[in-house]
Amino acid sequence: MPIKWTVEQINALAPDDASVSAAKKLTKLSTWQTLGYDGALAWGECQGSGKDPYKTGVDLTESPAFKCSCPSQKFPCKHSLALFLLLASQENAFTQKDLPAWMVEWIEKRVKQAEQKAKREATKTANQGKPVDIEKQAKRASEREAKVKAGVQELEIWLKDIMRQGLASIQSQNYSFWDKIAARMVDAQIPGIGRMLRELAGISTSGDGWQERLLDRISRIHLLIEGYKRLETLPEDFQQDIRSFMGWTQKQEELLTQSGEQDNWLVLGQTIENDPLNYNLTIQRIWLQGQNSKKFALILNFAFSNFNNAKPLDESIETGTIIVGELIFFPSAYPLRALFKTRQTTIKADNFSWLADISEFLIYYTKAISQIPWLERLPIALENVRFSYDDKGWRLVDKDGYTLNLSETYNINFWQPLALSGGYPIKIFGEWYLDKVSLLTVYANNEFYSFNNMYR
Amino acid sequence: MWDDLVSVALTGTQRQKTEISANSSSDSLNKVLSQLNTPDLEQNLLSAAAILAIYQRAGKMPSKSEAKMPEPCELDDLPVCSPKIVKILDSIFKVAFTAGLLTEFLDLLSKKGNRVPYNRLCELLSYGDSYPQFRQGISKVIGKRGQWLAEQNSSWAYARTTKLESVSPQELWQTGSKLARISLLKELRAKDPKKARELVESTWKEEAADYRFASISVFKHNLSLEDEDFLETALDDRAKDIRLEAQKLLSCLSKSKFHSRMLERLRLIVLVKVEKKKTILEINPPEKLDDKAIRDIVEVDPPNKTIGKKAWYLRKIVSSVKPTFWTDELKLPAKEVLTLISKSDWEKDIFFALPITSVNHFDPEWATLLLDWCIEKKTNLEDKTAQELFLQLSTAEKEEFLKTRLLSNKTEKFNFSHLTGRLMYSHNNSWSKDLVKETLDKALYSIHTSKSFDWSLSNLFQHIALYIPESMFEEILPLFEEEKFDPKQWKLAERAIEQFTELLKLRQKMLKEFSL
Repeated sequence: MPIKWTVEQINALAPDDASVSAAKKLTKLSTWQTLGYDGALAWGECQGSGKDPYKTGVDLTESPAFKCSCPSQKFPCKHSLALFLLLASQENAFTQKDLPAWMVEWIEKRVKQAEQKAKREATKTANQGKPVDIEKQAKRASEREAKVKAGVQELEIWLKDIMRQGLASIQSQNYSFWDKIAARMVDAQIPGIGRMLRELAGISTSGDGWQERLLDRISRIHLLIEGYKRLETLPEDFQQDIRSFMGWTQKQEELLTQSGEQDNWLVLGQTIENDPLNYNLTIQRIWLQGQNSKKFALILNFAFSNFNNAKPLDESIETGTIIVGELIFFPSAYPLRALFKTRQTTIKADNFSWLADISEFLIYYTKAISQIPWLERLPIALENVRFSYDDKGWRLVDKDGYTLNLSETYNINFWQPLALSGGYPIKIFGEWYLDKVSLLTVYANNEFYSFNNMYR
Repeated sequence: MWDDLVSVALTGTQRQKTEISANSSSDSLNKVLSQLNTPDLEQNLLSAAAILAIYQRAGKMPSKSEAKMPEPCELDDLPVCSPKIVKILDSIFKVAFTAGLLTEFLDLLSKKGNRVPYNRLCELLSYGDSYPQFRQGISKVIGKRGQWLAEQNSSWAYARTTKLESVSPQELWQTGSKLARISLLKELRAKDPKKARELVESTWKEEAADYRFASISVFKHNLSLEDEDFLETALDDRAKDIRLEAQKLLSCLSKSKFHSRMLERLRLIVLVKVEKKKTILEINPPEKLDDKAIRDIVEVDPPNKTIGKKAWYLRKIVSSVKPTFWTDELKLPAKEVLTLISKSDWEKDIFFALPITSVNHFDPEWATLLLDWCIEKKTNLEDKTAQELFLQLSTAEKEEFLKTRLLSNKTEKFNFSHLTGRLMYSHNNSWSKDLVKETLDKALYSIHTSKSFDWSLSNLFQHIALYIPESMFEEILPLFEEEKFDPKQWKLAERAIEQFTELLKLRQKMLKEFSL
């Protein structure tokens, strides 16, 4: 069943702001000569500047697909967006029920394309079954292992060199010093370590205590490669963790064949940022919590773009809604990352339960990092916290007077959550990262407020 | 132990050898560390650091805050406005040309007794920080939550309303911040000008000059002859700024001794004579000033070399004497006086000073007279001075003035960038139907007939759209539809017209929403 789309969600599909306002202008019923909807497909004919009206269609069966006969280079075009918006606001104006010929033609074409794609995939899978390819695959895998091994050896020597000469000797090194070794690790197909090294670059100039922070981070990388060297002796889940921290990706297709966990997944918060290793890569993190299992889950999406304002992959997920569906967790000693196998419906959440105070959170944190020492980012859901501000910055204070620092790196205007709270204890959600809370969501006055892109 | 490791790591193992000592208070930690005594020193160091770092992180204890938390805000706030009204507020902020609607929006909202939702407070308060003209309106629609917020953020202090009930004015005057004291003074001046003056006098001698200046500036509200003695004292102040302010205030009081002294001086300077049956003005400003005159004139030296001393004294004296001197004392009709002045050697100086005194004495008759004179003679008048004069007129007088001027050139095309057009921006009340119609007719005529678009119209449209009576919307909007224009003309004016109609439509929506 197609899910009900909101105006905000539809506007988020637009390629730019101009398209949003152009589409809005076309949402007058008078511009549409015909409008039809059969529960899964919507279509209409829009009078534009040309002689013939543009034929526009939207397929809502999966992630929406658009078609329009206009010459616009933008996708989706303003007509498609306008049609979608009209459907969301005035569904009963869509009086036609029978598909016109041009819609049938489009659907047939899409079915054909889908079939061809499926065929290609099937051949691919079939080919994978062939003995020749197992050999090839094994060869590729062993080639990679060899590369990784060489990379790890190189890094070991490099780290030991630093220890021999002392951190003071590299204090004045600039970014290229770190970039160089990070790039070597990427070449050795261990981009995860590359990313960790890249993040070291700013530490030596980060002020008091830099040497402690740097030793801490370097020793963490050391621990990771030590773990890799003894990989076979470790439990299976933990092996997966080490491999994924080093930068192996897991095949999602394989995961999707497993059975998942059915639950009502509350969207607690989300954030979008650029990958420190590659600024053309945008990373979207969506945090969920099962309303029955109380488990936290993290959906990661990646989008490549050459523009700064890259569109994230999934804007249909809204903070404060509950997605009823089946989630599959990536194997890990402390499973967090997951992906949806099925999504049945989305409903608006009316509350936000299962939260902790600050001391409870720290116990949870201890548990998590004793499972996986490299865990950097953990979900943090607190209740009964207030916002406090002084010359040292913004902090959260719980009912017992315990405090955690808030991260101000994203230039969040903390006056906004303060205004929402009125000085009373409220519920918050965020990411625990480098001993600070990155605020993502505030729950106050029975509403969820997102802070990922709400900096006014 | 961690500190030892950091110190070795900093200097390097080649200079400082280390042995991992398993002597912590935790047995399990010691057990792990004791395995690290291999010959590979760097390996030992890194492994020990990794173990200790995790050990510490895992054992992190929460810290307690000693900081005082602000008292939470009272909860019984004004009712929040409807989501539709919030949407209108968002539309107003969305593009720059609709921002002018904010004044009316804030006014409607406060009349309705509603406040904005909590998540719009920061935006609104910051906007007021950047655009002071909206501050008063903003402080009325932010409710208790907004006041509470403003108390904690110094750049939003403007929105705090001083609580007169809780603290006595005397106490606040003695202990309050500068801002609080001045806003108290303004408030008090409106209600009880005498009390306000007494407060200022009570500490006058101890205050710093900038403070005295801020205080004396408040006297323009509810100024009366009762303030005279205080102002006379201020005329002897050490600071020139304060003496000038006192001079300005005293010259507004036509019954003050100061005014009489200036009037006496002017009487000696300006004489009406009849020569060969022609009336002329004989104007003789003094060469030198006596001590008393120096005290009254305050600024004795001309501000620049283009003005002579005599001309400067004349300017100072004329601007301190009420404009009716020129008609009542000289017993001449106003028009004739102006003509005579324009024929004299001192035309420039007197026409510099007359607008000042007309404004100081709230004299709409003279204001109209001077504006008319400038329009007729096409004399240059600074926009700021013209606006000040225009603001002396009541709404009806402004209407009348603009209408007469618009109608007076029926045939030729009206030039909106001339003085009358510019004065339209100072008509900040609701415009009458007649005037709107007249203005838009002229504007449309200009668009339909000219080869280029007059860009002053673009600003004018945005201004009028804020003041057009609601009942005219339906009649006006069709006049600006694309079909009503020649495509060439439309292309030139398209942007200005679209912004105008968009603004009108948004305002229409707003008024409708608030009337519900």
